[in-house]
Amino acid sequence: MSAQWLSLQSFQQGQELLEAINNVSIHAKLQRNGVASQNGERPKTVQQSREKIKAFLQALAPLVEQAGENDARPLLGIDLRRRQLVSSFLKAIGNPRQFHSVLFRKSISEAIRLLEADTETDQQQLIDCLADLRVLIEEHTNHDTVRILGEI
Amino acid sequence: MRAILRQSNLDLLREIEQLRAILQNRFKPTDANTLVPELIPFYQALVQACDQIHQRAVVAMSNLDFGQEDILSDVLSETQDITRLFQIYNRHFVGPLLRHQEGDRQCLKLLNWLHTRHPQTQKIPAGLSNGEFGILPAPNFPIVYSMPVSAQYGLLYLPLFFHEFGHLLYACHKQELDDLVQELQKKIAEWLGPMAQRDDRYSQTEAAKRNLVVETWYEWMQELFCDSVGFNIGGPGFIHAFSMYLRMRGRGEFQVRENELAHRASIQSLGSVFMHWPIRCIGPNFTMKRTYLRKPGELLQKC
Repeated sequence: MSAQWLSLQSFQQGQELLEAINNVSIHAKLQRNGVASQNGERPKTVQQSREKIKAFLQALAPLVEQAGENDARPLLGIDLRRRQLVSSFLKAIGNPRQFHSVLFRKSISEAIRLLEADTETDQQQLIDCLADLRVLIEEHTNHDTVRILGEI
Repeated sequence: MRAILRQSNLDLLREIEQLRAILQNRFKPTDANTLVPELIPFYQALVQACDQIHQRAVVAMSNLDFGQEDILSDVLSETQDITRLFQIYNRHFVGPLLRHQEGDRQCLKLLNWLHTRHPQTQKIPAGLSNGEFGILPAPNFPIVYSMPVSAQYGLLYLPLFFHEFGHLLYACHKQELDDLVQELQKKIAEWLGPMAQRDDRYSQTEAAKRNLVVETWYEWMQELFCDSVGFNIGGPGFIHAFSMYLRMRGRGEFQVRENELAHRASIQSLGSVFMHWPIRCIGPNFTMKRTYLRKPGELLQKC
């Protein structure tokens, strides 16, 4: 019996998160550049996207902390793809050349704080965090896509 | 870059519109091959999904109109994301509509009946596809069940859909069930723990192996839950279908090498070994009863 269900569920979570990351990132850059949004619905969508990213990071933080401990205990109550995502996150922490934002260099909680911050410096740091997170999620989602669609 | 992104989104919009036109033509009441009633909710869900992807592509195009260079990377990511999403719909969710024939009605009626029996699945549309027995159960997607073509024309393997339906039930009750599985995993971790703690490389290797076993129980429990759903709905018919399905699968289906454990989600051997479990985690109307699964130790002792 096929185990594609796992990849599709993971894909769905990944693509919703990517949509949220792109929404917040575009909004932050437009604000930084002084370009007003022409779409009245946008602030609401952006706030929902922030909430989605925040919920994702809040759920991820304890798992990353637990898996990063020296005497790592097993990750309980989460599926294979989520465990692999935690593992990818830890590898990204160990790769400062590629992942240099606050999210990977400082802490997940600091990145969560940036989601609500509005100073210019914080906004730039948030943009960097989102760019790094997007790389990680895109890699993860691509893996799901290959499982669902097959190799090109 | 901007021109490439604009063109990519235009191409995607054109493809989505083309797909919508194909679906709408297929649904014409005058067409002799028009959809059977069981597939109408699936059709509506697919059209709605097309509209949502279309809307995202339109927004991506409008973002390009801001003329800001630094958002091109975001628009690129968004365009790739919706392209992947559309590909998945194209690949897995259009087929059940375009391939359907009168002979599908037996399976579709059963699937629709299953979905209507649970409050959280009654509004989720189901479709049928050719392929190995399986399901694509992600919330917000229409649900596609698959079955080998020859099996669709008999009754023998129909109860295997009950197992697949279990995956959907799990997705609908994910948090509740994940909490239960977590309790069981904690118990297993305790049982597997060493009698004495040492601080050397051997102990670390053994601990890593134990972690792998404990974590893999998540996927096993989901499969076992699905078996219990199948058994509860189908009774002996499910056992018979399952044993007929497994009997010639060969050694590879029943043994998993240790190094493959972390990459394999399903394990059919457990399903057959533990099939006799009188797990009553769902009631006659599929209402969750936590009490049985709340006692994981008791559950394991019954194996």
